[in-house]
Amino acid sequence: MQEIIVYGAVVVAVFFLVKSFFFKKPTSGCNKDCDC
Amino acid sequence: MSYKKTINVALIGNPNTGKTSLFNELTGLNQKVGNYPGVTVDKKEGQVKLQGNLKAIITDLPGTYSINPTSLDETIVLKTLLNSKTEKTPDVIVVVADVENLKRNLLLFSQVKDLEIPTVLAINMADQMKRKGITIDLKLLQKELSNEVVLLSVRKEPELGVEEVKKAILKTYNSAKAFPLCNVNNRIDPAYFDRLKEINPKYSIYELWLMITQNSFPDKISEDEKKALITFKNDSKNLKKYQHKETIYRYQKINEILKKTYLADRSKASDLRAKLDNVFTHKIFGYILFFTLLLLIFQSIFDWASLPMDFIDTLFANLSSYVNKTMSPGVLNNLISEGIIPGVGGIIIFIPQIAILFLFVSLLEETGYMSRVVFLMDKIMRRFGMSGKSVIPLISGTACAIPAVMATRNISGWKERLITILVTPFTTCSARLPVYAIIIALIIPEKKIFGILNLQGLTLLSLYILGFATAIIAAVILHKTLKIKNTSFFVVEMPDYKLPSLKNVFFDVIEKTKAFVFGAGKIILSISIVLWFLASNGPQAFTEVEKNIKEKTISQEISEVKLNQMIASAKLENSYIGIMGKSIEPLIKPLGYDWKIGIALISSFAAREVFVGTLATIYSVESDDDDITTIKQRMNSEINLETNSKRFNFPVGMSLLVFYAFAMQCMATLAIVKRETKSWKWPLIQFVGMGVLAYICSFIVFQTLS
Repeated sequence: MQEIIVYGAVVVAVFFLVKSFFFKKPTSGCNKDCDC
Repeated sequence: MSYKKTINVALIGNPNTGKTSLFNELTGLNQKVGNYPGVTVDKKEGQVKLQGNLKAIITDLPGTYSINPTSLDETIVLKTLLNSKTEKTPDVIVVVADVENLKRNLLLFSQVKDLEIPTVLAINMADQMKRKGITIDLKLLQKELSNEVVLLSVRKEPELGVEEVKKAILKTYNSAKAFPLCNVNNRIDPAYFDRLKEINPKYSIYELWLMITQNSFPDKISEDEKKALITFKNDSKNLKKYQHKETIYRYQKINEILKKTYLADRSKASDLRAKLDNVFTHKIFGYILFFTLLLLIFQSIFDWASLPMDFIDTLFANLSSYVNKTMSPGVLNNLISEGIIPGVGGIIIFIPQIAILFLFVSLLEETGYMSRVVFLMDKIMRRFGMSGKSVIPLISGTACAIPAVMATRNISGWKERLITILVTPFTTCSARLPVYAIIIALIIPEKKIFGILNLQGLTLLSLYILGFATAIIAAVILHKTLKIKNTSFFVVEMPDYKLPSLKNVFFDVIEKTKAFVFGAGKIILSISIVLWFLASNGPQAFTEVEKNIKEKTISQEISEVKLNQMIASAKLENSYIGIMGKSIEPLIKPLGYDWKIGIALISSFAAREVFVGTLATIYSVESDDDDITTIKQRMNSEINLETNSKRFNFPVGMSLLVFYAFAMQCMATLAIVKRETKSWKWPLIQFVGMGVLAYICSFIVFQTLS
C-alpha cells in the first residue's frame, strides 16, 4: 500500500513537471514580442 | 442570503489614481485573486451589495493610461472591453480619475465612453482639491459628459463618496443608456467609418476601430468579419493618420469641457511636492538618498528575516524528525520525512524575506517615492538596454530572484522586460549565501586587512559586485543581440507624496506572497519528490549495499552511528542520483570537482542552498545542519586521492564560487521565468547560457589557479 502511494506521488510529480512544459499559450502574442 | 441578480462592474483608471483603494473599500475582505485566462496578470474580483437583492461583482482591472496598450497589464483592459458583447463582461464601468490630473485621466474616460458601455466617472482625492487650489463645477461637468460623476476620497477617514459610487453604479445600470462622448468618426472621415460600421452593426464604431488599430479581436467575431476588418487594418496610411486625428480631437474635446468646469489655481496651492521632488530627483543627492535607503532596506531584510527563517527551519526539521519517529518505518515515511516536508519547508522558508521585501517595495510605491527612483535611474539603465523600472527587479534580486522576476511586470517594453528577466538571476540572491559562506570559510583565511577590513567579508562583497557587473554586461550583450522590435517609451506617473495606506500594503504583500507560494511552490515540491526518489532508489547494486557493508564490517568494531553513516553514504553512491553524479564526473573534472560534488551540483539544481546539505550527507556527517563546523571540518579533511591534497583547496573553492555566481541553479526561478514569459524557450536559453558561462569561467579559474 505504502509503495502505491509513494509511486503515485512520484508519478504525479513527474506528470506535473511534464505538464508544465506544455502550459496553455496566451490567446495573443502581446506579451511576447509586444509592440501593441 | 441569496441574491436575485448579479451585475458585473469593472474598475478602470490610470495607475496611482486610487483604483485599488476604491476596490478594497467597496469589497472589503470579500475578494479573491485569480488569473486572466492564458496570461499571468492577476485578476482581482470582489463582491458588494448594491441594493436589496442586487449585488455587483467588482473587477479591478490593471492600471492603464489609455486603451492603446503598451504592456501586458494594459492588454487585459483592452481585451475585457472588446469582449463587451459577452455575458461575463462589465455592465457598468467605473473610471477612477485623479483630481489633479483630470485632463489626462479623461482621455481614458472618453475612450471607454465611446465604446458605449454604461460608465461612472469617480474623481478621486477630492479632499485635496482645496489644498491644490482646484475647483470643479460638478453639475456642469455631469451635463457636459452626459454621465454620472462622483467626487471621491478613498484615503480620507471616514472615506468620502464610496456610497455615492454605489448609487451611481445602480443609477447608471438602471438607466442602461450609453452615449459616445467624442463621435470621432464624424470629425475624422464619416464615409470611412460608415463602411467600417457595416461590417457588424452590433459593435460600436469605436469598438471596430480598436479592433483594427490594436489588432485585437473579440472571441465571438466571425472569420468573415475578421477578414473584412483586416482589410481596413492593412490600409496603414489612413490608419496612422486617423489615429493621430483621434487623439488630437479627444484632447480638444476634453479641453473644451474642462475650460468650463475645472479650475486649478496653483497660486492657492500649498505644495510640498515640488520641494521634495527637487531633493529626491536631484542628480547627486537623489542617488545618495536612494542608495542609503537601499542599504537600510537590505540590512532590515537580513536582520528581520533571520529570526522567522530560523524558526521555520527548526520547525520543519522537528516536524520531519517527528514524522520519521512516529510513523511506521517504510517508503511512505521516507517520502514524507525526507522528501515532502523538507520540500515544503524549502518553499516556506523564503516567505519572510519575500514578504519583508514586498513590504518595503509596497511602502515606497505607496508613498510615491518609487516613481521618483524610476525617473532618476531611467537615464542610466537605458544605456544598458533596460528601463528605469528595471532597478526594482535588480535590487529585489539580491534577496530572491523569484519576486524580482515578478516585479518586471510593470516594464512596458517587451524587450526591456525580457532583458531584465534574463539578467536578474545574476544578482547574488540569499540562497547563494550558504554556499558562499562555507566555501569562503574553507579557502579564504580569516585575517584582517589594514586592521579593519575582514578578508572573508571582502570576498563576499566581491561576489556581490561580480553578480551586479555580470547582470549589466549581459544586459548590454542581450540589448545588442536580441532582434525584438521595441516600441517602448518611458511614461512614469509622478503621484503626490502621501502616507501609505496600510490596508493596500497589507493586501499587496499577501497577494504577492501567495503568488510565490502557490506558483513556484508546486514546481519546487514536485522536484523535491523526484530528487528524493532518485536519491532513495537505485539499480541492483543499491539494494545490496546494506548487506555488503554489514558483511565487510562484521569483524570490525564500529559504532552503530558510524555504520549507518557508511550505509547511507554507500547507498547514495549507488542510487540513481549517485550514478548521475558519477556519469557527469568526466565533464566536471576539468573544473576540479569529483562525483560527490557532482551529486551536490545536480541536487542543488532545485535550490542552491541544497548544496551544503547534500555534501553533508555525502561526507557522512551527522545530519545536524546547524553544526556548520562539523561539516566544514569534514569538507576540509576530504582528500583528493589523485593528488593527495585537500579536495576543497583554493583553486577548487574559487572554481565553485564562480560556478555558483553564474550558474542558473534554481528551478523555482526557471519556473517563474517560464510563467512570466509564457514559454520554456527563455528559461531554457537562460539555463543553458548561464550554465555555459559558469562552466567556462570555472574552468578558466581552476586551470589558472591550479
